[in-house]
Amino acid sequence: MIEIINLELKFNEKVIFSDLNLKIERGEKIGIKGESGKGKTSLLNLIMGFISPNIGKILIDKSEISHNNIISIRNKMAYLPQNILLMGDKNVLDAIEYPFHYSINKKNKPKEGKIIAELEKINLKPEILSTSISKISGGEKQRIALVIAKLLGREIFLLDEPTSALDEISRKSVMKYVFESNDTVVSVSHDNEWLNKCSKIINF
Amino acid sequence: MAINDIDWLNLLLGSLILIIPLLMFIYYKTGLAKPMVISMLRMGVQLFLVGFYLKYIFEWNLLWLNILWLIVMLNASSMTIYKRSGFKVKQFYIPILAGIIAGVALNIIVFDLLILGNQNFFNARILIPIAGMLIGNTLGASYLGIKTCYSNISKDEERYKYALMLGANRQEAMFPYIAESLKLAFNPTIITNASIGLIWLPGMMTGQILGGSDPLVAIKYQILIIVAIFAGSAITVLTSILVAEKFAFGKNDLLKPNLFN
Repeated sequence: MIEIINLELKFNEKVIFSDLNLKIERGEKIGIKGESGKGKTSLLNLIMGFISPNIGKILIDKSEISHNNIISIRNKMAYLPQNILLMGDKNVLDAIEYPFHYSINKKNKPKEGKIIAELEKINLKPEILSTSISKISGGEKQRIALVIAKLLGREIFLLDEPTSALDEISRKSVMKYVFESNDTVVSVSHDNEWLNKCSKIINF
Repeated sequence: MAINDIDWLNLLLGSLILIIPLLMFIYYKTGLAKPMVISMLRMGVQLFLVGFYLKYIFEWNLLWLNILWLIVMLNASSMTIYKRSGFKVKQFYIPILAGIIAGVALNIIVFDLLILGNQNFFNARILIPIAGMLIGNTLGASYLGIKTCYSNISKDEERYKYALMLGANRQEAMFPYIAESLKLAFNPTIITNASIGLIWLPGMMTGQILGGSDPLVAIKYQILIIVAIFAGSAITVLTSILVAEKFAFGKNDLLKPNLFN
């Protein structure tokens, strides 16, 4: 559960937003919309602990984000930025396995069968595993990034414009995958169809 | 064989070839013309001052004075890299200095144990030129290493953040940036080293041969010098990057916002 209490954010003395209160229950799907510069992406950065609020606090599963618990809090979350990035420089399998080299994830390295099963849920064929990262489309990257987050066992998905660079097929697959899951989703989006599927819409 | 002295007029005339790179830099609006002129003037003035200074320092050969001069060299080199790299955070001087000290310390051990026999490393005639040569040859790699690593993290913050969100700790998230900066810092040296002997003869060896040494002896010296400079530079670069990690990041694991000018 995410609780946002009396949050205020300023940049160079300019108030970006204030008095923000929000309770996000486990499994809820939140859509955030609004003009650019209103602090939507900053809210995602606040939840991830990359920036600190000027006033107020954020609780993740009842604990306030601090320097001491930031790693365990970040490890509950998956972040998909607007321009999707994949780590590694070889093929898709390498990119999927890359985060499992990090010490905290090492013991959870998935077998290839599990990876393929997860890829199929989001309409990706197993052959993509041997494809070079430089040869896959933006939509495929987005779907692979979701699969990585899922394999890492993340529960809270922070998505920044998740459908903005997707073709229709990828968009449908991503929506189905995200909205049929039990995960908590906080998404920034301008896509009305996406926003309509969210359980709550926050206007910035 | 005695080496011919260079006539002052010839030294001046020879230096005029600098007009060529100067015109190139001005024509292509590189902004390098002024720093080039300043660096060349500094080089000339500094070498003359050092020439006079060394004359006396060699004559006196006092341990404390030799070590003081080493400290001056370490400080000057660290300040040069710090200023040139555009870091705004003053503490960045410390990792740069720590890196250079680590590299030089390794080399002092190698030289003392393997090269100098029973000569004392802290003898002015040995310490000053050798330490100067080692530090001087480390500057380029040290600058490129620390600058590339941290400016790439700053430019590529989304990727770095993404790594943290995938579970990387700070060192793991820095890994690709460290790899990239090592490549950039050492690729030129690796290429240059591969051509030594075939294409060019290094300065020290040339000096020894001109001074009448047996080329085979000069080669042995040169091999150890190149190895020592390379290993010393590698240690310098990695030490400075790793020590800087302690100063560069805020509590949120991101680079401090005011890191660069």
